[in-house]
Amino acid sequence: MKAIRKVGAQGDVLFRRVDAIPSEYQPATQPGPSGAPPRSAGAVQHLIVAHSESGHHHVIASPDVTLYTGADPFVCFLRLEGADADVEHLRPYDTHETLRLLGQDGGPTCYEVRRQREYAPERDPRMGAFRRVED
Amino acid sequence: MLVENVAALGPTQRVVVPELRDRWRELGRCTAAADREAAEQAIADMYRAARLPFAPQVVWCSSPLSLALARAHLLAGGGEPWLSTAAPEGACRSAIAAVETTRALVGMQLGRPVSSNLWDGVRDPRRVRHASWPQLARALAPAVAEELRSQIAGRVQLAVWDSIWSEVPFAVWDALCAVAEDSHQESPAQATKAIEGMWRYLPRELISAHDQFGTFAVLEYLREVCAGQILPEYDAALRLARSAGWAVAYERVCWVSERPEMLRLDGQERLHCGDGAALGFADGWQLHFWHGARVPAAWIEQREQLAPSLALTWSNIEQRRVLGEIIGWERVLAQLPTRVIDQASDATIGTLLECDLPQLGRARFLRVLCATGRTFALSVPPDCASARQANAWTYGLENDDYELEART
Repeated sequence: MKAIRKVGAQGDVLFRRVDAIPSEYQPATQPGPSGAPPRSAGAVQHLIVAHSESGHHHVIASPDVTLYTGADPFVCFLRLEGADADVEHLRPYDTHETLRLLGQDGGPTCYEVRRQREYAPERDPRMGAFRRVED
Repeated sequence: MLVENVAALGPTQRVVVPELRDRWRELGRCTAAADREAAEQAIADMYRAARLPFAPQVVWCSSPLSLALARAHLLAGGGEPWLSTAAPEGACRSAIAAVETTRALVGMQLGRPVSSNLWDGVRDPRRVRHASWPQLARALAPAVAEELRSQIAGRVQLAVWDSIWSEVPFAVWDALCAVAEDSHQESPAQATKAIEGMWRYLPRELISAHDQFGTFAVLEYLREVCAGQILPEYDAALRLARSAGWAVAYERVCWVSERPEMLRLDGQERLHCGDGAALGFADGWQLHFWHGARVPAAWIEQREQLAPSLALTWSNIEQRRVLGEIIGWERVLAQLPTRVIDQASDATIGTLLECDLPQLGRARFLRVLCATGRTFALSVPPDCASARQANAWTYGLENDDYELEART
């Protein structure tokens, strides 16, 4: 397991510590940011941080983490109440190693979550000439 | 379950862990025909333990696809435009018509007749009632977790889960969950509309019992090693997992699939076959995999005809990576006019390439090594001047913001 205090990536998802969550982002009730139902691996209910079309979600099992979503499908935020949170990758093969997001002492910690994208010139530039990396 | 709290595993108890793991690994690879008598008895016991008033009608299907299609079609009965031929007098006639339509659709999709026992089993639509799975689910899956949490000290729980749960090869079943959702994309054009209509009714709430292999392995460990007594519903679920493939339980009907007839894995127990299907069922449903990733059949069966440019342009990046491996990155780059724009010393930052794609013109790609050891190629804007800048752009960041402490 690797741990970060500021910036790190797990596959196609990047985590970046920020001072605060923008006001236009609101707490999301599961299902996750893409509307996917939460997936249970064994006994634990996971918070889906990044949904995968093939079911290989990036998830956090801690109950002390809140997901904030907004209009931008490429960005969401996490608020950690505890000392840390482990991001797991739910894939039985070629699994990305668990990434630990470290919190700060004496208060909640916020992380920005950014999904990886790639250039898609065929798309309408007004919508952004890129698409989300699908795995 | 009655298990004494245990502080740590003793040497004898540890010895059993790999034996149990191997036992469930073999079960995950099993391609034998279901033991239908044992499975039906297990299902009846599960329903009894869940205090359901009826023993269900067990409907055997040759594959999870047959199961899902037929069940979805029945559940959609009456309200769908593609059921316009259904008789007006009610759901029974509608469901019968749905079964016949499904039979034709499945036949088209699979290219050969589906085994007749499926249709014989669902011809009595009056026995089909929807939405009692939650009762079974409430009785089984969460209870298993709760028992484990409450009865065993944390250290031992972790040891058992780490040793068994993570290594039982349910990759097969996990992969099937994913492919069941997109297999309709390969259906013939005339069937596409109808199949998309019923896809909304596919069972997303339960793919048992193989989804719970890890849990079952732990339960069996507790019973055999810790002298625990497991509750009847757990015992029935274990027996079902040992005797058949997937099951989808409803109040009066329990749909059960046979196991695959053919299953091929690579050295890491991922579904894989380089010259044919990796999974095959009795009804003709075949699935192709490349080291765990599902791919279209043509990529394996006609790999020599694949265009190298696909390895840079395919929309799904996981499949794109697989294309690069199947075709061979050297062949991809050798057959396309490619220039290196920038090459970082760190392979995870990668190489920025520019190439001329047939019919698409000039384009830039970031060829990068993933932390899992796999190589990907990502399309990036033509104004990216360095591999680092291209990396930052893929996450919507500026070059200076892309300073990773760790990448996994």
